[in-house]
This record gives sequence, structure tokens and C-alpha cells, in this order.
Amino acid sequence: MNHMTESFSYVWLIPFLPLLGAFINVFVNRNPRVSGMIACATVAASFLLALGVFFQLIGLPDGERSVDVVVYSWITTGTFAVDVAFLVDPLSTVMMLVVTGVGLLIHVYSIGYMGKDACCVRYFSYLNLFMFAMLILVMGNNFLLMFVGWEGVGLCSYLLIGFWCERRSAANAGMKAFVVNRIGDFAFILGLLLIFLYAGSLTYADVFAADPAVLAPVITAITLLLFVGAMGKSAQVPLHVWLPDAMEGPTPVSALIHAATMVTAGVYMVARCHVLFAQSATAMTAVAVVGAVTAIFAAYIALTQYDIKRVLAYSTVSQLGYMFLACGVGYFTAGIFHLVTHAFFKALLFMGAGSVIHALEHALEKGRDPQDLRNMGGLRDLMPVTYKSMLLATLAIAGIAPFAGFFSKDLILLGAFVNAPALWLVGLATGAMTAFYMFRLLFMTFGGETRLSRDETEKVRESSRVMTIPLVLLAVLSTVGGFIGIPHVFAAGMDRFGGFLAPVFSGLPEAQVPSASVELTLMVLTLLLAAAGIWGAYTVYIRGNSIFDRLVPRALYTLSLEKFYVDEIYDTLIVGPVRKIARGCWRILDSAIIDGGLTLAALTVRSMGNAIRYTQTGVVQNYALIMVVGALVVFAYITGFLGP
Amino acid sequence: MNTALPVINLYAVMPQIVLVSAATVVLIVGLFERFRKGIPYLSLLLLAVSGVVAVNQLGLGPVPFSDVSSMMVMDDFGLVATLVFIAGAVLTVLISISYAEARSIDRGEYYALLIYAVSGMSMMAASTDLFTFFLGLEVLSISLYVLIGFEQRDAGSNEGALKYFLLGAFASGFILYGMALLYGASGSTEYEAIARTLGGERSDAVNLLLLGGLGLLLVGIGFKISMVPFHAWTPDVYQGAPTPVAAFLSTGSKAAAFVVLIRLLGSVFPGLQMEWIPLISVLAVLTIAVGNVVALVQTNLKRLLAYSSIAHAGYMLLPLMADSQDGSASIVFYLIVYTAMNLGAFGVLAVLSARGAPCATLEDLAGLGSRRPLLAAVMAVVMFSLAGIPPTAGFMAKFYLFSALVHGGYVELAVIGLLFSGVSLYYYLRVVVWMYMRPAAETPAEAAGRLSYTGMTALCLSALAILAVGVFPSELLQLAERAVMTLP
Amino acid sequence: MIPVTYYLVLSAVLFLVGATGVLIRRNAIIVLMGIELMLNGANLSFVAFARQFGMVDGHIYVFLVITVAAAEVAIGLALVILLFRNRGTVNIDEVRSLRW
Repeated sequence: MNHMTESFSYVWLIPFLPLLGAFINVFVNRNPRVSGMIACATVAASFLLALGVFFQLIGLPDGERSVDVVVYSWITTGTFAVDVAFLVDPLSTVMMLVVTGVGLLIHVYSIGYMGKDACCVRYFSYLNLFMFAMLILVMGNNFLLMFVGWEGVGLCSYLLIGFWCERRSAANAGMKAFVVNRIGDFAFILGLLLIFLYAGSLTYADVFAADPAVLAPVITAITLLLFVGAMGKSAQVPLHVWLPDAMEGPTPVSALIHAATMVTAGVYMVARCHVLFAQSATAMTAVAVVGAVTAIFAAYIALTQYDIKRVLAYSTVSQLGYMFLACGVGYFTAGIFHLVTHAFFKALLFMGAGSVIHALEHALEKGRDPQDLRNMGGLRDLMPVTYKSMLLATLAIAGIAPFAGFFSKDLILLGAFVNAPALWLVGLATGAMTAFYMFRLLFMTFGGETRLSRDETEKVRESSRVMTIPLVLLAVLSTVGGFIGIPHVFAAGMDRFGGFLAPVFSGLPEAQVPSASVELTLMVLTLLLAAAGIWGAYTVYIRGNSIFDRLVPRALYTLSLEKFYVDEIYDTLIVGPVRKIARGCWRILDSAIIDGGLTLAALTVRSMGNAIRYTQTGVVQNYALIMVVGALVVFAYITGFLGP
Repeated sequence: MNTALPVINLYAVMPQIVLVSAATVVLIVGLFERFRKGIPYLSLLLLAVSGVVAVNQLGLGPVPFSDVSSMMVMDDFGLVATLVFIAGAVLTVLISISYAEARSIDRGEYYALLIYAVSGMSMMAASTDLFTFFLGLEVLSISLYVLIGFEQRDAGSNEGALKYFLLGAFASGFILYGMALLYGASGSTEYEAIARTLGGERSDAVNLLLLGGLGLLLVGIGFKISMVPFHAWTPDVYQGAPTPVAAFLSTGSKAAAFVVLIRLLGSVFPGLQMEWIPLISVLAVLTIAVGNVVALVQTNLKRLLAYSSIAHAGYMLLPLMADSQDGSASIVFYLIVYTAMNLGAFGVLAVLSARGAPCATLEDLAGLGSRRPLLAAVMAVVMFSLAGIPPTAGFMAKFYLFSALVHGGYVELAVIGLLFSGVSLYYYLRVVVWMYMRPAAETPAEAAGRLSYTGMTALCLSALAILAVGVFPSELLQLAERAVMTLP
Repeated sequence: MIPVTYYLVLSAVLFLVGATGVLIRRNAIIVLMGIELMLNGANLSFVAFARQFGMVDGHIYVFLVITVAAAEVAIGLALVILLFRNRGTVNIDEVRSLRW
């Protein structure tokens, strides 16, 4: 194995280069123009290196595709040793590629988006720092290094949410993200403590090889604690509240951190610890149920939001729920697959939204919110590149074949169908809702009549090349990205993605596969429901507008005319109540209970602090009195041991 | 009675001798007005000399001071502690220079007292007899009383000094009475003799004396390390004291008391573990809780740091329960890191408030990130480290400490500690938020112009050390482990 | 001969009287005297024990403690004088500008 470790000895450069970039931008560079270049160059170099790792890895036989690369020995004490070491295996390589690849595109996009901001040097150094932390998280070969990355990404996220410090809401959102993540992190640390206590090590190889009998008494506790950590980071109900507020940060940050990479850290962690999770049926059920509930709950809320970034944020929460659902039913490969495709199309959606916001910020009159869907409409012709790429991404997230989202979502639903039919139904319903709200977003932004005044319309411009090229590249990936994992039912042996990851998950029991006819039926059902969702959005948000004539063939038009009565029913019986309930859900659950609970907890602690603080009277004799009382208590306690 | 002259081993107390002589030299040279500017540099030089002496003795011990009665011993534990105190004093001198000059307190006595205080701490660390411990403690305390009140015209400095003096002397009374009881129990104040008495058959009366003595000692030492409920002086005194002195006070004197505590509880009182472990665990948890919770609502920076230092004392108390080499080593490691962090934090305040209005509250830090980028970066590193965010030294220290605790089987204490450590992030990050995310006030409180070079050097050194130890902790961990190896 | 317990009780009483003085007297100088009383209570115990054991070290300790106490009082009085100069009072319950 030694020569292999050596041949991978360069992997430390992958996280180190972005760190170097951050350092240069913090300490050396003062030029805003150069800062973006430096940031992009370092990330690009990391991406190339990650590609190198990938090709080197597929050149190896299946059994040897897991290499520990020790950089140096980090902590060595009498009881304990941890290295700074990277684990190169298919799972970490996939994550490296996603993080550096999507990260690179977002860095490039940021040059266009943030280039004119006064603090853009600071922005790029944070962004590079984030890349460093995220890469440490996914590449470490032990839990401690993962924790280092875990805290690091949290910190960068917190700094970037509050980046525009003039906005009071930004600072509050940062605080909220911070408090909620604390809860998750605390559980995560406790999980690590238990692992350390029972397995005696924090290195993956040791922990995963530990005798299940040794871990048995605490395995459920360990996995549940780890999962609570994942829930915090990956915004699962009820710890999801911070993510929609995190949209206060710059939009490329939302794309990178709060959609494509950081929030998927929880999914990565669960997949990485699949050996542990597989040992606890309770934990697996919890993961699956929380995932499914989050998926449908967030999708439900997304139906009625008007802020474009908020819709996308809830959509992210919902899609993360899908990934956990996949992990929970034992389809870890499907979870990671969806993580990858989601990174493509969600990053694209956010960047597209950013492009729209960027354009409207300059066009809209003062006081009109550039993120409000009700202030948009008809941008299709004004921003064609943005529109087309977002359309492809929307098709992908809606799960329409053959776009990327179709394959991954299909695999998840298949897994749910086999292992937990009830959750499969939830997933199916979520699929329809996803299609609905995503097309609602698309229609309200680009379709229909514009809600901009003429002056404003004239000022809307398509974004510059530096912003649209990443969009186009991601659009291509969203369209064809799914072909890396073509299901067995279409072409045997074409599931390249599953094959690549197979060595990682080889310890798991063989997944049950239903017959081809069942699988195909399921696919058709999924597609039909997605189509129904699109149709719903279309009827509600496009019909009756003049653009409708141009957009849709006459035959469809007459067809929908006949559905007039259904529309009425739909409107009064479904859309109205749905909207009300969804609003209610958001208000009661999010605002009242969860926010309220957090505020209450914070208030309790603060008032305790104040109560103790005012015992500090400033009179020295009171302090002496406190000491004497303490001394008497100590004395009473200690002499209590004397016995009769 | 033994009439032969005892063999005195002066070599064993060489670091202390050098320190006391250094302080005296500084005191005398300080009498000459024309050397005034050079005094701090002379102090640095002499501190460096004593550091070299201590380094040279590393690994040679343990050598007792005399063959008749041990009194003091030269071992790695005491030497490492002495080196930490010296390093702390060096940083304190560096951040003092501009501060003391601007406030006209840059007299020879100031630096001489600082070095006397170090010699006292060093005596405490090396003592193997309650009486030498007491003398060291008094040398330290008396120097500190004067240093805290050094700004004679400043009412705050005066008030802080008076409070520290009254309560400190009060606590000394407790320690002395406890020593008397222990003397009565074992006929000697040597650690070894007391340990022997504890190990043998004990009558009820002896037991009463031992337990009472232990309780009173804990009160007195608890005062020095600001353990709840003996902590009340901490915020007031830190706030009143000249900022570099507060930095010194929060690191050196606390570290010295901890070193004594490790020696006492680890090698003298293990026989009473059943009695003190529950007591210390309750007090440690209280200390952590009070420190962190009250720090949440503080807006005065020095008070915030004072409560933070209370909380850190609580963390450091925890591994005493584990009663293992690892536990003691983790405290030593934590103390080293803590010294760098707290000197850094107070140092930033000292450098900022050297001239002009003192930098007192969170508001004064607003916009520091753009006004003074380097200083703000140092403060941010220090805050992250205090909060225990990787990859800083503070994270390493906490990690090592809690893992030793878990290894000793005190999972529930580790959980409580971690919970409050999570709470603490809030107020540490709030400092960072104020520096980077709040626009500056129209007229910043601190004076314009460049900052003191020496102060900035000290601060950058501590920040770099914090980062370096976070990434490459092995050497320092080994040093801490080596230090506790010599403990019985 | 008077048993050693008597001395010990007296020393405890002295210590407690001193501590009470620290707690209840307002005048800084009297508080200082209270602290002295506490130290002397401890001294008495040392002497009593030393006599009981027939050893000399307890007596030596007492001399050292007296020296230390003298140094402390010197500092204490200096601080009280500064207090009087700065605020015109020696009542320590009026010195409470540093609080909360």
C-alpha cells in the first residue's frame, strides 16, 4: 500500500491551495480586481488536482480504491493519536469534484456578481476559506478532522450570511444560523465523544472496523447524535429554520454554501458513517422519516413564498430531505447521487436567481424588492440565457426525464418503494409539489406579462459573460449529468456512478430490486405526477395571460379551455386552502414554535446572566460574605464525611 | 535532634534566585531617571536570562532543595510552569511599554514588581512545602496589590487594588489557618509528611484537622483561580487594574495557583479523593456556568474577559477529577494556551487604549476590522481560540482536556462543559461581529496614529503561536506530558 | 498544664472574630485589623501545635507570618491613604464604582 500512498501524496494541495488564496487576499493583495482572479485560480488548480485524483483512482482495482494519505501526525498523547491525514476513496473523490467543480463555477460567477462591491477582497478570502474548510471536511480520514471542517464551514457561513453588515436583518440571520447550528454541533460532539469512548479512536478505519458488539450498547445513541448534527448542518425539520434566513447573504454564497456544498455535509457524514448507521435500525428509521417529513414539509411551504430566494431555500431543504430519505432506506448511493445532481441544478437555480436579482436591482425603482416574484414576470426575452438555463435546471429539479434530477430522484423513490412504501408515497407527493412550485417560480419570473414599468423594463440587461458562462456550463451538467447513473432497467452496467461508489458501500446488504416492469411503472408514475405539477403551475400562473398564446400550441389551449370548470374547483378547493394552510404552517411552526422556542431559551439564559450579574454589587464586603458562605458550605460538606 | 549541617542545594532553586536578583537589579537601576526608557528592555533581557537558566535545568530533576527538609524541588513540572510564567511576563512587558509611558507609570518599580511576582509564582510552582507555597503566594500577591493600584490618581485602579487586597488578604487568612490545621494533623507542613499522615491510620481528631485544612486551602486557592463562589472580585479587579496588569493577573497568578492545585490534589490529597472529587466537580460546574452565563450579558470588554477567565478556570478544574497523568498534562497544556490567548485578548485592549480614551466596551470595537486590520485579525484569532474553534490552539486545548476527562470516565462533566462551551461561542463571536460587521462610530474612542511596535510584536507572536499550536500541537503536548511525568 | 484544645478553641475564636470584623465593619482600617486578627488566630494554632509536638518549626513559621503580615499591612495602609486622597473617605462600602 505504501507506494499508493506516495502516488497520492499531493492531495494535501487540494485543500491547501484555496487556503493559500485566502491568505494572499487577506495579507498581501489590496486590489479588488486581482482578488477574484487569485480566488478562482486557486480553486481551479484544486479542481484539476481533484480530477487527477479521480483518474488515478479509477485506474486502480476496486479493492484498492481507498487510500489513507498521512500528512503528519497531529496529536500523539499517551492515550490517543490522530493524524492530519486524508482519505482518498470514491466517496471523498466525488465530494472533492463537486466541491471544487461547482465551487469554481461559483467563484467565477462571483467576479461578475461581487466585483463592484467595496468589500470584495474580504468576500473572496471568506469564500476561499470556506473551500478550504469544506475540503477538509470531506477529505479528512478521521472524525476530528471532519469536525475541524465542520466548524470551519459553519464559521464561514456565519461570516458570509452577515456579510452585508449594514442590513440589520443580515446580522440577525447570522445569529440565528449560529444558534441553530450550535444545537446540531453539540449533538455531533457528543456523538464523537461516545465514539471515542467506546471505539477508542476517531480514525474512520478503526471506528468502522470496531467490533459491533463493543459498540452495540451505544450505537443507537451515537448514530442519533450524529444525525442530529447532520440535521443542524443540513437544515432538517425542525432545525431547518436558519436556512431560509441565511438567504440574507450574497446570492453566490447561497448557491455555494447554502445549496450546493455545505448543507450537504450532513448527508456526506451520514453516508460516510453508513457502517455505524447500518447497525442501528432505529437510527435508519429516524433518518428516513425525518428526511421524508422535511421533504414534504418544506415543499409545502415553498408553494406560496414570494421571495425568489426563499422559494429556492425551502426547495433546498426539501431536496436535502430526499437525500436523507435515500440514506435512511439504505440507498446511500442514491443519496450521494442526488447530492451531486442537486449541486448542479440548485447552484444553477440560485445563480440564475442571482442574475435576475442583479439585473432588477439596477432596474427597479427605489422601494421595489428585486427578490419579490410579484415584481417580476416577462423576463424571458430580456434575459434569454438566464431563462434558458434556468428552464433546464427547473426541468431537472422537477424530475423530468432525461434531465439530471430524474435519475437520482427515481433511484431514491425506488429505494423508498422497496423499503418503506409509506415514505415512498410522501416522496411521490413531494415530487409533484416540487414540479409545481418550481414552475410557478419560473413562470412568475420569466413568463406572463411583465410587472415592470416601461422605464424599468428598458433598464433590464442580461448579465455579463462572466456570470452567464457558469450558468451555461451548469445547465449542460443539469441536462446530461444524470447519464452517469443510468438505471439498470434501461441499460445493464451503465450505472457508472453506482459502480464507482460500490467499493465504499460494499459492506451493506445487497439492495432488493423489484422487477423491471414495476420499476418502469414507478418511473411513469413519477413522471406523470411531475407533469401534473407543471400543468398545475401552468394553469394557475400562465393561463389567461396574453403570452400564453405564443408560448403554448393552440391544441393545448383548447384542451385547457375544456378544463375551465376543473380550474375553478382547483382554485377554490385546492389552491386557496393550500395557500392558507401553507401560510399557517409557516407562521405557526416556523415563526411561533421554533423561533419562539429559540428566543425563549436565549431569553432565559440572558435573564439568568443578568440576575447573577446584579449580585455583583461592587461592595467588597458582600464579596467577602459570599466567600464566607461558600467556605461554610465547603466546610459543612467536608466535615460531613467525619461520621459519628 | 540532628546537629549535622544540612546539605543545601542552591542549584535546585537557581531559577528563583535569578528571578529575584533580576527584579532587584531592575528596581535599583530604575532609581536612576536617565535609564528610565531602558528599563523595560533590561527587564526583557533579565527575564530571558532566567528563562535560559530554567530551560537548561529541564530534564535534570527532580533535585530537592536540601536533604533535611524538602521545602522546594527542582523538577520539570515546576520548570515548565516557571517558563510559562516567564513567557507571560515577557508578553506583559511588551504590551506594557507604550501603555505605561502614556500614563506615566513607566517607573522601575512597575517592571521590578512584575518580575518579583514571577519569582513568587515560580516559588509556588516549585514548592513541596505548604510554607514555601505560602511565601511564594504572598510575594506574588503583594506585588500584584501594588501593580493593580499602580495608577495612583485613577479611582478605578485604586478601587480594584483595595478590593483585591482586602479579599486577597482575607483568603490568605483562610490558607494560613488551613495550613495550621494540617500542621497540627501531621506535625509538618511538607507535602510528603501530610501525604504520609493521610496514608496511615488516622484518628477522628486528625481526620477533622486534615479535612478542615483541605477545605480551607481550597477556599484560599479557589480565590486565586476565581472559582465560584470565591470569584466575585475578578471582574471588578480586572476592570480597575491597568490593562497589562489585568492581562498578567488573569494568566500568571491563576496559572500559579493551578500548578499548586495539581501538586496538592494529585500528590498530597489523593487519599481524600472521595471527599474532594464531588466537591470540586460541583464547584467546577458552577464556575463554568456562572462564568459563561454572565459573560453573555456583559458589554464591558474587561468584565467580559474576566467572566470568560472564570469559565476557563472551571474547564481547567475538570481534569483534576480524572486524576491521571493525562488529566494533569491537559491542564498544563491548557494553561500554556490560555496564557497566550488571554494575554492576546487583554493585549489588544492595552495596545488600543495606550493613548486616548480607553477601549472599554464592545461599541469601541465597532469597525476595528477596517480601521486596524492587523489588530482586529489578532483579536479574531484570539476570540476563536478562546471559543475553541479549530484549528486554533484553544480547540486543541479543549479537545485534549475533554478527552482526558472522558477517558477518566467523567462523561457527564464533559457534556456539561461542552454545553457551556457552546454557549460561550456566542459572546466570543459577538466581539468578532462588532469588529467586522458593525460600522465604526463617527469618532473612534482610541487615538489615531500608529500603534506601539513592541505591543504589536507581542500580539502577533501570540496569535501566531495560537495558530501554530493548533496545527502542530505535538511538541507542546509532549512538553506538557513530560512536565507531569515528574510528579509523584 | 493547659490542654492544647483550649488554645485551638481560642485561635478559632480569634479567627472568627477577625472574619466577622472584615464582614461588618465599614472603616477600611478596622477591616485591616480584622484581617490581622485572622492571621494571628492561625499563628496561635501554629504555636500551640508546635508546643504540643515539641518542635521548633511552628514557632519559626509564626515569625515568618508576622513579617508577611507587616508587609501586607504596609501595602494596605498605603492603599487606604490613596483611597482617602482620591475619594475623601475610608468607608469601603462607599467604594463601589466597579460593579455589575
